[in-house]
Amino acid sequence: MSDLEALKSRVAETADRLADELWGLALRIHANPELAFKEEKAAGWLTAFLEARGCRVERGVGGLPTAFRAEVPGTGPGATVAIMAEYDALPQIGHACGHNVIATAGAGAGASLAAVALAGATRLPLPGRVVVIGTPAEEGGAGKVRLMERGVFREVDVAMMIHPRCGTQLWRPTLGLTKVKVEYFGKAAHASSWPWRGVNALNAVIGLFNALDAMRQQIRSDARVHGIITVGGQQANIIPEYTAAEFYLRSLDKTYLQELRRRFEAAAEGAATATGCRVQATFDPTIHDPLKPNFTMLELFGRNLDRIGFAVDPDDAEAGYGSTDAGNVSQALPTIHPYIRISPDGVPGHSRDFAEAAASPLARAGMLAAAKALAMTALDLLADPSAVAAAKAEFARA
Amino acid sequence: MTTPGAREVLAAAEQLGSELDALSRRIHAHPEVGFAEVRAAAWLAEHLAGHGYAVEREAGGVTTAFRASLGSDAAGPTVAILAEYDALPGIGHGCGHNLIAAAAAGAGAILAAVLGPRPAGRVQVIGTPAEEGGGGKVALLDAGVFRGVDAALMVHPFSRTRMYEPLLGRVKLTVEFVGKAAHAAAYPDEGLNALDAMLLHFQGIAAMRQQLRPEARVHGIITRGGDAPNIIPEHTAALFYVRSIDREYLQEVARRFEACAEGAARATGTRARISPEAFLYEPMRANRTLSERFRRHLVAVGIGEDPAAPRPALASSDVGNVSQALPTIHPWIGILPPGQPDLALHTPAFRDAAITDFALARMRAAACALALTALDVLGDPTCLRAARAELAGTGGPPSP
Repeated sequence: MSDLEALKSRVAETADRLADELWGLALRIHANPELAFKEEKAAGWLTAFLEARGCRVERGVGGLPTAFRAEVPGTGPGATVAIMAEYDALPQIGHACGHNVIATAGAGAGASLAAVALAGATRLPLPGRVVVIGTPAEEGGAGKVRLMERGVFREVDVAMMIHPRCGTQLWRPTLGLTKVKVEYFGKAAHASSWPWRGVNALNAVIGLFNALDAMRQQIRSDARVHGIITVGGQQANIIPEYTAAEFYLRSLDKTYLQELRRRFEAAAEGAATATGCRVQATFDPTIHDPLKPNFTMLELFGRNLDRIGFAVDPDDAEAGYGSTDAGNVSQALPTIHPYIRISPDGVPGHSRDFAEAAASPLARAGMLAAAKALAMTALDLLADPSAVAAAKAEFARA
Repeated sequence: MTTPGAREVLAAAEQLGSELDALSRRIHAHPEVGFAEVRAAAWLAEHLAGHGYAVEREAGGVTTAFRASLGSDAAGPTVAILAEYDALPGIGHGCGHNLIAAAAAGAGAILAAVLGPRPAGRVQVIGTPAEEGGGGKVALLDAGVFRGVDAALMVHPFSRTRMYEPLLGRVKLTVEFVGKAAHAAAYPDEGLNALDAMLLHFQGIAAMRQQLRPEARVHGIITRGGDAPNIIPEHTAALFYVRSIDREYLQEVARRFEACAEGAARATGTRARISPEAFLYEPMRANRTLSERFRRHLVAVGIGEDPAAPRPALASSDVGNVSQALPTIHPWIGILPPGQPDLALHTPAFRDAAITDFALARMRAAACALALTALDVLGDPTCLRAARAELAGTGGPPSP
């Protein structure tokens, strides 16, 4: 057995020994759901755990109080492999996206590698380093974008994370996402005695929805446009003078997302022109990029899943795609975001059923397999600089 | 010379015997649509020529128009009595223009009888085709047929006798959207959907209606809605009427209509093209000075005004344009026997009501009242002076 294979076996054994503790942590995070940027308990528990396992922990990185960085150093200069952990929950429905499993899979990988390092010296017996980066606010806050802006990913060569799902698939796309708030300004008037003096801002927002409904026929099948009305008027006997709505625009393709934005703006302006209202469309400066695959790294990750006997499932073509701030990381450096089964087939993400699944035995098995495969893939990349070079070459090509 | 009065006019009407009824029945039995009223125009022209009028056919270059003149404008004012005689497609004389025609022709014959061949002024009976959407009077106005006319008088059948009912200004607009065709299944994202634009335009209009004045109207039909379901439609077209009781507000609503179309085009990435018809129907500005004269004469021949209907009919007519140019009246003559419920214009029921003995009797009475009002215009200088001052906005009786 080569040194690398021996190391992988030791990492896997370590992960097995940590399994109860990791699962306990996953259940604790699950039972204490915290919203984006407020994941104080989760960040506290995860950093304490990683520190106890010998990682060098830095809290509040990138100016985000609930972000962290935990390093497992290697023997000298080499690649920096990041393992990303998410731990924010959803409003009302808790860990219906299973981020508790992402958190402990990532922390488990880091802790297992740190334990191996400690067993010999204080460093991994390979060049480079592994960092576990705690990335808050994936659900709408784009925490990873903030961390990138503030240099937390500056030295990172490649990044990895897993995401829970109703099946194990190495590659599924995610959609680029841009958010926009639209406001219409009309003119109030008594809706019964002087309706002709009014300019109806609710007509405008309804006109916008109608235009978008019509537009959908002529947009690419991967594209999505969906929204809610956040201010729909003030009182039924007043011609509404102010309305507001929020929309997400999504596409697999960054360029097409720009095209969608252009057409959305036209629809919003058209509704204003038709109704005589003034419109203001405010785009969130943060755009979620679509995920860019890195098959070089996915291949390594898949082989490691295979090594521990964890099955990869065929893709269920029926389901559509979501968006993630990991997409932005993937557009900046080679990144993988494979999906790990934590539920039976066909359970949709962001459902109460999926929240339940995130605390089930299937989730425990998925978390443990993911922790091992992440750690082993990190070892593959540190042990073989040409693998990192190949991942970078693929990134540069695509 | 003393001006003839009601007694002379009624006697002259008596002399006409069944002539007017026969004319009205003939036109009713042979409905002809706008600009195709060849027989009706000929029958009316012959009738007036037979009563001493010099008849000019194809007046203003409009084939089925005519102008019958008696006397000279050198001798006094010119009063015009307007005849309409077009029918509706499919329904026939559902607007009762056969009665308008006979009343005008009758008034002309009566005036010829009571004034003799050399009246102190000029009487004209102007045959105005295509009131139903064709804007015949607008064409005649543009062609100068009304030049020199001091006052225009006509009557219109209705469920009730009313001096004043609103006639809305109306503009006819064609709106087209031009997009880009694409296979609707294979490459829908390559298309720009002109039907989406049209539907958004209708939705925009529907939403706008809440913020319109109650007497404004916007209504349309889609005349071209696409070519095949598997093609993203690249060209669509619709025809709209925009109406209002007020000239300025009509322009305002037309402006908002345009904004709706432009918004729909912007929203869908298509191009909007709005083509207003060359003419628009102006809102009716009934001359109160002359209307009050007519009211008095109508009472003298036995017809009083009815109470207003619970809601106005709100139609449009090209007589509105005449009424903005010169003192004009367009009183409504009730043709339904007492106790009969109101009938809507443009229906088969109204068509049938427009040829009853009761309706014909009302038409003959209306002819007398028209003749008497015309005599006021010709013989009473204070009458025309007041009518003109009212139009100029410097006098006249208060609003009804």
